[in-house]
Amino acid sequence: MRFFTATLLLASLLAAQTAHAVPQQRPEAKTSLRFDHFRDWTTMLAEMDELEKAFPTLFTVVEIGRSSLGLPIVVGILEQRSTGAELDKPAMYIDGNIHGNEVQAGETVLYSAWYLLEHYGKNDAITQLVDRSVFYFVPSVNPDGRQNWFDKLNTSHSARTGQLPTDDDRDGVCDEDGPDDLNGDGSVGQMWRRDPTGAYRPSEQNPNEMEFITPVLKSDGTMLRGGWSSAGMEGIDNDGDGLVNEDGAGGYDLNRNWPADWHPEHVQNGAGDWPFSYPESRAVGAFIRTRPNIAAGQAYHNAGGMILRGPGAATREDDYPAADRAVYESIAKTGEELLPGYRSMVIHSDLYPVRGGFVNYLAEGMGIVSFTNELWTDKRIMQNGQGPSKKQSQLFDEKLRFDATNMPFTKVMHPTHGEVLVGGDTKWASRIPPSWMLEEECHRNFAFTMHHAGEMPRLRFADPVIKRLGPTLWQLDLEIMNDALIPSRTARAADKHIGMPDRLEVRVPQGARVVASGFKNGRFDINFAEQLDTPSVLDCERGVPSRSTLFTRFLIEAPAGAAFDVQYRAEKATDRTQHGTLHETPKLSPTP
Amino acid sequence: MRLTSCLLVTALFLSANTTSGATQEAVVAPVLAALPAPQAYPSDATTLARMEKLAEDHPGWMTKSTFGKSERGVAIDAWTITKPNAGRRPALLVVAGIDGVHLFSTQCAVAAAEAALAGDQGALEHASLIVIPVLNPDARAIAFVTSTPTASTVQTVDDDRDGVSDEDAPQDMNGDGVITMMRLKTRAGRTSTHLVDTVDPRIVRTPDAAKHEHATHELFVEGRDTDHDGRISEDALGGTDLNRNFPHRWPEFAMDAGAYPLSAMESLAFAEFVAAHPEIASAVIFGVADTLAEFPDSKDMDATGNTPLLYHADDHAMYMEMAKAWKDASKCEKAIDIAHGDLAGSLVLWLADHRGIAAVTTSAFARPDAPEPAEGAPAVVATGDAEQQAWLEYSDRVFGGNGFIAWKEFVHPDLGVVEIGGWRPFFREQPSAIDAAAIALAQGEGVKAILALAPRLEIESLTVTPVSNGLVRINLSLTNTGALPTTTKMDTTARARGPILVRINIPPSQFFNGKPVERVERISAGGSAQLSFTVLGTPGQRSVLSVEAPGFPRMEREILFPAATEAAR
Repeated sequence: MRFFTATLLLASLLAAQTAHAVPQQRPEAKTSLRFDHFRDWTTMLAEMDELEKAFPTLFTVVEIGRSSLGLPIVVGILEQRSTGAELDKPAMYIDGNIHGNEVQAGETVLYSAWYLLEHYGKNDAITQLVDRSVFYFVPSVNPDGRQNWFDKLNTSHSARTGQLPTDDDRDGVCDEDGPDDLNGDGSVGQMWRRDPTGAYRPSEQNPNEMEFITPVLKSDGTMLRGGWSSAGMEGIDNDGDGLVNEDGAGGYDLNRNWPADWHPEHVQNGAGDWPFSYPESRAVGAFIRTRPNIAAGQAYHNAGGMILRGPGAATREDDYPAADRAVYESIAKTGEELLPGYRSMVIHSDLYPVRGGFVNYLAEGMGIVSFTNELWTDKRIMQNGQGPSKKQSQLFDEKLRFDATNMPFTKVMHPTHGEVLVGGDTKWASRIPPSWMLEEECHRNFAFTMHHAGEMPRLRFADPVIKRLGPTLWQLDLEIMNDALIPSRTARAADKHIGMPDRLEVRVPQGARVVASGFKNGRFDINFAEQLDTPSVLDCERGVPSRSTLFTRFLIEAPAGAAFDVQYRAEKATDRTQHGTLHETPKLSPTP
Repeated sequence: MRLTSCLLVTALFLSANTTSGATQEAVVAPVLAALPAPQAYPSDATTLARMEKLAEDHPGWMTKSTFGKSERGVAIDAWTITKPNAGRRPALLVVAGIDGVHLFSTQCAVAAAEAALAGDQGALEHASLIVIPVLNPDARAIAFVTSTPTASTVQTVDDDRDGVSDEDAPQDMNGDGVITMMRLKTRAGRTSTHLVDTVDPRIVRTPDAAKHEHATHELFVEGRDTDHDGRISEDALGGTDLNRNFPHRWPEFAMDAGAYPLSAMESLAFAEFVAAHPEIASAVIFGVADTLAEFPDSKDMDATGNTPLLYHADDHAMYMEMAKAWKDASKCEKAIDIAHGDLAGSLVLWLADHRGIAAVTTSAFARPDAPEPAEGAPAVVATGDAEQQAWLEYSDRVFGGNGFIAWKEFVHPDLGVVEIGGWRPFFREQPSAIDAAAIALAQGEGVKAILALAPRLEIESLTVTPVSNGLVRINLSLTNTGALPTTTKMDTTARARGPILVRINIPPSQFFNGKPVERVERISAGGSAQLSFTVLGTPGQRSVLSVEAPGFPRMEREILFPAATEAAR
């Protein structure tokens, strides 16, 4: 008995501990995806397919177009079909990697889909979010650029562009003079040439670095200088025009090719011939236009630790009315707390002007509350909220990255410059987090987008208030509430008549009719602003505002007890219905 | 000639006997037949046949290419007219048939092709002509069949944003065969916007607040409130106005400008065609706007400060040259501008400011001026709308008042008593059947005159001067003997067409001055560009200097390095 009691006690103790431990454990995954590495487009596509196979009732991968070089551009549609039709639920659109070298954006998108799918049905918050929303995931808008980054030579800052051959140097030939790997180290590094007037020299402390030397007057009256000057990035003059590396693959910017304040190349570098002139932007644009339910948008980039919103130019400030700015600022503020080191910023004033940008098209052209997160900041190195000092950066590279992201300088004979030093940061440096920090970066940004998604419009009817005005005349007050931050129509959408207005319709039986209707400013308003035509249908151009209520009044001619049906339809929120009968609502009695 | 005289006499008779307010009872069939109306202009099938006949009559000179399809699947064709075996030439692009309003435009485009091929074809000696007679076949088809001006494509657009498209189109309520306007006298609960002119009650205009006028009427396009939304004829068939669908100052959110620039199949196909033909150096667009008869001299730039709102200031002189040549040849001094200077999203300014093409547009037609009043005749009392008054005078004088359909009372099912009437469709946009052919011929001559201005790039001189030990100085002079620059000043900013490339096939390490590839952005009309290279070669070495530019044939010259004895001097 004693043994039995002791065992029971021990079992209870263990059970108590296990019950607390379960939420901290990773649920058993259905797929093999891991986020401690970066994958090329072929692998990413395969993993999207793996997610689809593992979660066939929740996730569908659809090809929406082909890149310039013929690679598929896909969207993963994540929805719980049993809770309603796709277009009847507010949707969040999330994409990444429109710039070919901003690779961790792809991982972050993939992580987002993976996390939602693997935790659906196991985590209440995730389950509820998925049940009431739809998610569209485009892991790479620029698969050509992504594949180029993995397969070909790149610097620590290349290549943003797509891979459509482009004549950057206007010599009638395309892509004929890109960088070269002169020292065969598999990387395109810096190139330094001997130069008696040069201010740099190889660092004595760090062989992977060139250091600046302030000229010093020697005792013999000559100046001591570093002896080396920059010759640009590693390469030779492939096309014999006297210039080096001036016409590499591609040469345009897909994130300047959107019809929001689009301007041609002489105003905005990389803009292309006209909006949607590239198959990638055209495919994504076409998809988005078929999804009027998209209420929130995120386009991941790197780098810098930023939560960016429009406008992209000072002339477009009016495109963000005060009501919309308040929504952006609130969401971004939470983002700053979820993403240490990240700053909420306005593109044109805090970064630089951008014309024809994607997130600007979403917000200004389509009325979608949208952000661009620039993933990874070197503030994550010391994790103390500060950017690292030079010494700290060196320590990070040497002791944590084991110098894996830069190549030592080696001497090479250059056909024009003679002896040159080649080396420095590889494409894995600078903009890309170490693989062992990738998952947290993915998760925190995913969490921010889920907070954003969670604030998509959530509408509900309050109880109707009915008053009898005459033998067959009734006053029906309907209130539609939005419990979320994002309005059912942004002020921008309302101002510019983007999309369809929300619509509130009251249906009554044959023989009855709605004789008047309109909007009230508040619950206790006596008057309403009457909409003269089609009284049974109110066009709600401004939708239901952020965390607010839309007050309406209908006057109905009907016998007592007549039934009525009400429907509120919104493109970016789930439609709501209400039913009732015409009986006077009892007045609330004062509490005795 | 006899018919023309007969018509003229009839018209004069009518004008002598017609007061302002001529009624339809005074209609004379020949006068009606002379009215600008679809039947006055060749159909697109006739146009195609005419172009094919022209090609047949000039074998080897014309090539047809289909570069796109309309919304309804009709082929959109370009005809390239160039001297056989002539090689690359700068091209003048002529575009017409952009809408189903300015139906006459296509006639002008065909006339341009005919004029270029007539006679000694001298204008085609140094240039090509590309003619797109019909850019918007769908709109024109609707106009020809229904006699309703149609500005847009037939893309389905939900203009009133009620979830249903094209459900509330204008209708011929009174069965008079045309769709005009309805005017409704002020009614309680409604907002008036116009008033009837007291001098000529045919005129409905907006009130002049400075004269303390008040609106007394509402004005609607003839039709019903088919969808019961309180609005009349607000969701017609179509569409996108192609001439508001181009990226230059695209009118974002205008319902007729398309969902985004080049959203219409027709405009996108056109843009791709232009991008694929960098030899297009100039363009004449026949349509509803005009920048040729009266060049807009604004030099204002857009908000970025980098793109003109209209034309680049430094190109104004060039455009004046084009206009002069056109006016001298066509004898056309004036042209109506139905767009009233609003060229936002227009095809012409996209060509000019984004593609660096010297592009102009004209309606090719001006309302004939009223004759000087006879001595002693009573002074004409001015109405509140001089433009409408002038059109009414023209209608009364030439067409017995039939350019305007008199207001007649009608009991409207939705509005009650209204008056239906207004301008006869197509009347104010183009010439009459009497004048159309002659004006088109004149436009053909005008286009031919612009064609003759084409730039001509030549190597004026190439000298190779020995300096020392194989070092030579190469001096190249390029000249433009044409009357237009090799490209516009705007193109030196836009960089859309491509520069003149001068290449010397010698390694860069042997250049001491200049580079193996040099770019000349532009050579003005009658101007030249000088390039100088100092290059080290080996005695007797033969190299090649080539000159290439969009639309010009490639030119090559040999560079011969001096022999050893000569180099040693």
